[in-house]
Amino acid sequence: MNFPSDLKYAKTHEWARTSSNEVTCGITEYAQKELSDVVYVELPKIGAGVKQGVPCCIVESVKAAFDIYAPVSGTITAVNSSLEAEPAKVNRDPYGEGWFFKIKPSSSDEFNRLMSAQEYEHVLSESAH
Amino acid sequence: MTVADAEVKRLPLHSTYAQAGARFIQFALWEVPVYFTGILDEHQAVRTRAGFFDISHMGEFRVTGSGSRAWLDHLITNAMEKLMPGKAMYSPMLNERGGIIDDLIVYELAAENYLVIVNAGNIQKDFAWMSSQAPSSVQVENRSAGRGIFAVQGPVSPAVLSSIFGQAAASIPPFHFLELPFESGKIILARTGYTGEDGFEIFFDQNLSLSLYQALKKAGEPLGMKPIGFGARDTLRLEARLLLHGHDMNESVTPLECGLSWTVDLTKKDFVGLPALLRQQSEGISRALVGFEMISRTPAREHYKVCVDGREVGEVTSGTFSPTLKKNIGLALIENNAAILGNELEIIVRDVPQKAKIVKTPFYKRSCHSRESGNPG
Repeated sequence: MNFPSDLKYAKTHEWARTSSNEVTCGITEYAQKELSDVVYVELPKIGAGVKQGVPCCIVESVKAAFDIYAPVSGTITAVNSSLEAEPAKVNRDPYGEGWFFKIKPSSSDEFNRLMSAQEYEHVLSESAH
Repeated sequence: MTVADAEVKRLPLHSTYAQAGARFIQFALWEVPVYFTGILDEHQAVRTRAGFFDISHMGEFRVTGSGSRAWLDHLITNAMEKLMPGKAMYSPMLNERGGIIDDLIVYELAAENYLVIVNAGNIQKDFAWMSSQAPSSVQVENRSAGRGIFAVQGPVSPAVLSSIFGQAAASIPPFHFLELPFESGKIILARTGYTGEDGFEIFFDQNLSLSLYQALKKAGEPLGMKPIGFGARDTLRLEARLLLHGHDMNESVTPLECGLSWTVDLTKKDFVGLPALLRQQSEGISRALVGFEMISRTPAREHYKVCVDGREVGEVTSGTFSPTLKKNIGLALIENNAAILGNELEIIVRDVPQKAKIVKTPFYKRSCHSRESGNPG
């Protein structure tokens, strides 16, 4: 499975990418495969405050609904509303067109403490046993 | 490993499916494939070509001995007089209150010799109930552990089966079966299923699992047959409005409430639950199982509350995205006076009412044939 090394990861299977004081978030290749076909995404509202580790968004596959957790605390600045019409982008391109939302983080500490790709892969291999 | 893990059972071909790329989930104490390539993809394969299912988790009982037929007629709601050797019949089995203990398919192998297929989650309960009810001349045997069941479903399934078993396979009428030789043993090939498509179910001794799987794979793959997980099994059966016990019906729901009246012969002299059903019929049936389609974009899931004009009238029993209709659909058990075709419902999704409407079921009906299908999940 593909876990780009320029991203940071949360143990709840979200990825985060930082650029110009904004953190873009989505779900990992592993999460996408676990969910299988995504058929519905309920995005957070722009301007909403989010807290690290607290659900802020819903994704539904054919079989069930799942929470998506904010990888860092802050304020939602953008959402990928194209997912409403084309939720399958989450499966097709989880690190690109399938991004969920952007957060203006309240501090940089939380982002820095997220896992590296290597650490995340280690967590996945541990949980497989 | 926890105790709960140790109790989870695996299909005899678990590792074969793992190698084929299956992802697994737990279902009724079994670890079964949820999908191989993807639920949507597999659903489409069954609707247009064929799908292979391993449903060996299901229970298989044998009922034999003098008086078996009369006793089964007393135990189930459908009329045993419809059966003859080579024929199968779907029926609920009720408790004294008219609630559904389980739904079964009864296959008449020979006079006073029956194969009964029950839901995996109900094997112990059904076996205990049937054993306690059986007269001394009737033997009820639980053969679930040593037996396997495969299903091949979809429009090209007759071609798949006849390439292994000859043209006789394709000539089996719906709800009939044949006993056929396979390698060193014998298998039962039935025209039954749980997908809303034409298709077959095969009952066999577990030692034939691998060779039968390989034969089906070899015959089916060139025709577009794919292995199917439980994810698509659920979307397929729901589109065809085939009910799932423990979800759309249970021990406190009667067949008259969930649309299974066609499986109940109220003219029979007696069967377990008949007095309760007659009483319900005369007092009025207060609930109905209806099909709905979401008007809002949100999928509805099992146990979501259903309201009409802000008043709670029932709950969702099954809900999913329909791969064929590209809509969110489901079944809901609601007050009978709200169960009017076209009526608007509010389904409470994460505390927010979302619009839905009652629609005709089945949601999907295949066009080329008019075969009936129905099988416990």
